[in-house]
This record gives sequence, structure tokens and C-alpha cells, in this order.
Amino acid sequence: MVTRRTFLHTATLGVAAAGLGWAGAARAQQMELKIGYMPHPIHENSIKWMKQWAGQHKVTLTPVPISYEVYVEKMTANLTSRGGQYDVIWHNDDWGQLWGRYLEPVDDVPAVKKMNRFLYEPPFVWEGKDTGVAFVETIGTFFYRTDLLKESEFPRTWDDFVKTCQQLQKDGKVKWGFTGGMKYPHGWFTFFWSIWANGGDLMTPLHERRNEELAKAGWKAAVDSPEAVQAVEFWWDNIKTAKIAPPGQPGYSRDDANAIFMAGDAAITMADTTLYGKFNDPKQSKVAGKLSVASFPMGPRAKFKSIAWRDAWAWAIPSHVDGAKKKTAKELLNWINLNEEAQVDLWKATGGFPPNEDVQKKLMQSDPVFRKFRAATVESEKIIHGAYYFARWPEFFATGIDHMVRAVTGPRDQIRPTLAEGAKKMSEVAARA
Amino acid sequence: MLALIVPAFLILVLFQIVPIVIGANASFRSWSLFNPQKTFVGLANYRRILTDPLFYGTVLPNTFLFMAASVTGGLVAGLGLAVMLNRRFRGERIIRTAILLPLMVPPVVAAIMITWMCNDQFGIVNVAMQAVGLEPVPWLVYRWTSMAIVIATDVWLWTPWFTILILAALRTLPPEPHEAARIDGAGPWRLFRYITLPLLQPVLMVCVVVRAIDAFRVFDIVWTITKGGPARSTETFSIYAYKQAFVYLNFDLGTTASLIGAAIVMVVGALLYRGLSAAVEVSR
Repeated sequence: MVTRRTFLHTATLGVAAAGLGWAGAARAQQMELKIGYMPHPIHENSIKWMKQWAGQHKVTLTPVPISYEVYVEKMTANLTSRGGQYDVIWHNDDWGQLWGRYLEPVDDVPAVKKMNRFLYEPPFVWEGKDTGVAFVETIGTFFYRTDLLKESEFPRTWDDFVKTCQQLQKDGKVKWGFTGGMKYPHGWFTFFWSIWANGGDLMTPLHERRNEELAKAGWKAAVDSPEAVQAVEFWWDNIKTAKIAPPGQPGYSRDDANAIFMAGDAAITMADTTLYGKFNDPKQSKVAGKLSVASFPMGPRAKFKSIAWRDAWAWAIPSHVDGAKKKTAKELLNWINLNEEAQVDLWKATGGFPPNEDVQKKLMQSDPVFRKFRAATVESEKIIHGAYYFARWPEFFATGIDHMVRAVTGPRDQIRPTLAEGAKKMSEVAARA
Repeated sequence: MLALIVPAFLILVLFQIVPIVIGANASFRSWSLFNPQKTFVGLANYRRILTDPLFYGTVLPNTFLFMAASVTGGLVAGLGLAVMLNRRFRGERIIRTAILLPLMVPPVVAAIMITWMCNDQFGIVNVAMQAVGLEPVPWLVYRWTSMAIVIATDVWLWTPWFTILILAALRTLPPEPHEAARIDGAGPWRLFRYITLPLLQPVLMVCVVVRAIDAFRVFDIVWTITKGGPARSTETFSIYAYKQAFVYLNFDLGTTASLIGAAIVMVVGALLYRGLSAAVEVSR
């Protein structure tokens, strides 16, 4: 018979054992990875797969969204103060040199070997070590509406580009021929592609991105070169005389331009391939199902047939994160990149190129849309990086775009002097790198 | 007595004095946010800010223009509304509540709303302009249209604040001077000009001093509507300091700009305070 005393002893021991067991289990499940990311279809797709892995490995995943507008400053402050807010962070290619010293080397993540080295050098290399695990390639391309333009009709030169846009507008088929982001930090979608497609670049030597070579050349900005001046004049004319782009474009972010394109008010836009999923979503876009891509129309000064930029967005691990978390984060990032299903889903859902080259090869064989995207972008004659990788890049970039916006909104004859002033200031900023 | 003061004093030191001292320290050093070397550079940062043509040629003029225009606009509109509301009429309470509504809207929300209203493609302002046969305007592409939108938003937000304070003051004015003036044959304008306005002067001056100092530090509305653009042409002092510190990551220059701004606002505040004292003296 169970006495009252025995019952109490047993119950107490039972409760204590259950408590200890619960505490032990809770401790085993307590590994939490906090992910600092920007709300964007690509990040959300990647986090979806991270959650799947986390669920299987009893890791708690806590995604912490941060607006793009404040991402660099917020994350820089977190890294320099060794804050514990994030264990894995979004690491854009053009912040490589800014944060290199604060990031954990990831050379020991096997999946990195599956990626194209062009994506890594120089953006994600700090003192000879890789600092990010790419989760998507980010490549700019032209999107156009197939209900308005056949593939064979897509313009190959700037002249044809203007004529095609004007014709579409004249025929009443669309309000604007083209729209694209212009203000800081969105200049890739107008100013930058056109400078590159006209044979120019932001610095000399042309298409050089290694800091030591830029230093040897005296950190010289090239936005006052004839190619760049002509590119800004091209936009001045497109907005003010040819009127193929909205007059408000100098104030547009990429989101403003995307909204106009998705509303069906523009025939052509220029954006990252990663926006394909959004543009092609009938719930968000009126142009869904009638989209294709093309390479940049070339300017009159270009000495090559086609050009594209090829970069990556990566996940990185702050070096001050504790060892166990670093190990878990590396396992997670490795898994995503080696998981073919996750890599293919990234492409299908968003239009972002999966960084695993084995997966890209398979998609080339099986997916005609992917073949078209590659042909319009990374199979161009010339491939460059879309940014520079010195620590003063944010200020250099902002100074350049501000002068280009000033030039495109001022009198046409002031474009050259405005860009000359911009080049001088940009060179001063770069020299402080 | 000392025990009562200590908590407040400690909070003041920890959250006001210490950050200011750290900021002041950074302003004498080379201190980038991405690689804080903290090398002592003397007054070099002050020289750089004070000789930056953007700072003295665009940022300071924009700041004072914003301050003058938004305070004047809010004051005039608030005074007008307060005088109108200072009487009994049907629906008085509903009108008074409606006028107070902008005060309840967070400035960032108001700024986003105004930005969309002024969007060149989808905004209601251009739709209305086109409806009456006018050409649509890309409002946020030009310096002065952008600045006008920023100022108008601020005036809209702050007019109710002026209205409440001035209305409260109007309700407490003594009736005798008005009655005496009416007996002497003064009309409504003369009553307002020579009786009401002088009696309101101390309250108006308090409103101006408080709002002017606040307007000097404006950040949220400008950042949300223009981010200081196009091409930095609508930057005010706070936006300039923020960009230096957190966009260009020059923490040293950002703190230097903040301290220079603080010095300027102290001088402006002292001058306005002197004006306030004089006004109060006159009204006695």
C-alpha cells in the first residue's frame, strides 16, 4: 500500500525529474540563430528554407527585418559595437570591404567551392579569406512587355531604344516607354547601366575593381569622361525632349519605378532578375505573364557588343558570435547551397540565379526561361562588378548619384561641368579610402 | 533635499551629459563608423564642416528658411483659426476637433501621405491639376517645389498646436480694453491690431521660441519626403549630420556637425529668448 509519505516522496521526485528533464530539453533546444535581413523576395525565400533546416535540427530561427534604407548604418553599428542582435546577417557585395574585418571567415563552408569565384573576388574576400556565403546572384537586366514588343523588336542601340519607346507611346499602347530608379541609392537602373553600356565606368582603369590597382591609378573617378557625360545627356534627353521616361524619374527609387512598370504604365524597365517573381505575380502586377528579358541597349561609344554586371548577395556571420553558433550557422548556410530543391525553388519563385553552379548547369538543360535570362546577362561579352569595394564606397556612390541627378535636372549645357565637379569630389572621397 | 535631486541629476548626467561629452570627444578625432581609429585630429573636423560649401551654402540657409517659413506659416494660420474659433457658433465642438486632427497624426505618417499625394504618376494633386487643365508637375524633382511641400506639411501638422495655445490665451484676455476701444469707435481690425495682438504678444513669443528651436532640429518630415534631395538641395542641418554619421559613416563629421548645430541653435534661442523677455516687459 502506498503511504501518504511514500506518495509525497515519489511525487516530489517525479516533479523534480520532470523539471530537470524539461530544463535539459529546453537547453538542448535553446540554440537560437537571429537573422538580420532586408524584407525582399530573395531573403524571404532563403529564410523559408533556413526555417526548414532549423526545424529539423531543433534550432530556433528568429528573422529580424531591417529596412534597406537604414541597413548599412544599423548593421555597421551592430558589428562595430559587437552587439548580440544578429548571428547571421545579410551581406551585400558592395559592403565587402566595409565589414570585412568584423566577419567570420567561411572558407571552411564546402558549398562556397560550388560558386563562381568571380562573385567572390574582390567583394567577399578580406585578408585572403572569404567572408560571405552567397545565397543568390544579383544581376541587372531589361524587362519588357511581350504584348507590346516581340523579342526581335527589342532595341539593341540607344537610338533604337528611344525610337521604339516613342513609337509605343505615339501608338497609345503605353504611357511611358521606360522607367527606372534614379536617385541614391538606385542609380544602377538608369545612370550606371547606361555609362557601362556606353563603354564608360565610374573609375579608371575601366572595369577595374581591385583596390590596389585603383590606388595605383590615384583613385580617379571617371564620371566626367565623354562616355559618362553622354550617358547623362541621354537621360536628360529621354526625360525632357524625347519624353520616353516620366519627368519625376530623377526622384524615383527602384520601388517607384517598379510600381509604374507593374501598373502597366511603362513598356520597359531595368531591374535585378530577382524581381522577376514579383513582376510575374498576377496578384501584384498587371504585366504578369507577358514579360521577357533582354540585355542592355548599347551606347554609341561602346567598343563591345554587350555588357552585364554579376554580383551576389550573401549571408555572413559576425566574428564576435560564439563558436557553437558559428558552427551551426555554417552548417545551415552550407545546407541551403547544396540543397538542389532549395536552389531551384529560389530561381522558380523569384528569378534570382542560384549561386550553386552545378544547379545552374542543370537548369540550363531543363529550363528555357533560365537559358534566356543567362543569355541576356552573364553570357554578355563583358562582365563586370556592379560596385566598388573600398570602405568609402557609400559616400563615393552617393556623391556620384547626387551630381548625376543634379546634372539631369539642371540645364543641359551644365551637365559636363556638374559631372566634372562630381568627379573631383568622388576622387577626393575615394582617396580617403 | 539632495536625495530628491540625485535621481534626476543622475539621469541627466547619464543620458544627456555623457553622450554629449562622448560626441564632443569624437568631434576632435578621426572616427569612422566602420573602423574607429580615434586618432586625435584637433579642429580639423570643425574646419572641414565649416568650409564645406554645402553646409554654409545650402544646409544652413535651408534650415533657417524652413524655420522661418514653418513657424510663420503655423503662427499665422493658428492665429487666424484661433480668432475664428473664439466665438460661439453651431457645430463649434466638431469644427474644433476637426482642426485638431493633424496634431494627432504622427509626422512620418503625414509625410508618407503627402509624398503619395504629390507622386507625379499616381498622386491626387496632379490628378486634380489635370482635371482643371493644368500640366502635371514632378513635385519632388526640383528644389523649391520639394522644399515647399516639406514646409507645407510642417505647417499643416503644427497649426493646431498654435491654435490651441492662442485660443486658450484669447479666452483669458480681459474684456475691458476691448469694450473701451469699442466705445471709442474702434472697428474689428483696429481692435485686433491694437488691442488683441499686443495682449497676446507674450503667448505668441513663447510659441515662436518653442517652435523655432524645434523647427531648427527638423528631421522626420524632411527625411521621409525628400531625404534631403534632389541632389542634397533640401538638406537641413539634422539631415546633414545624420548623413555624415550614418550614411557616409563619418561619425566624427556627424558629431561635429551636430555640435556646430547645437551652438547655432543656442545663439538663435538666446536671441529669441531676449525678444520674448522684451515682449513680456512691453505687455506689462
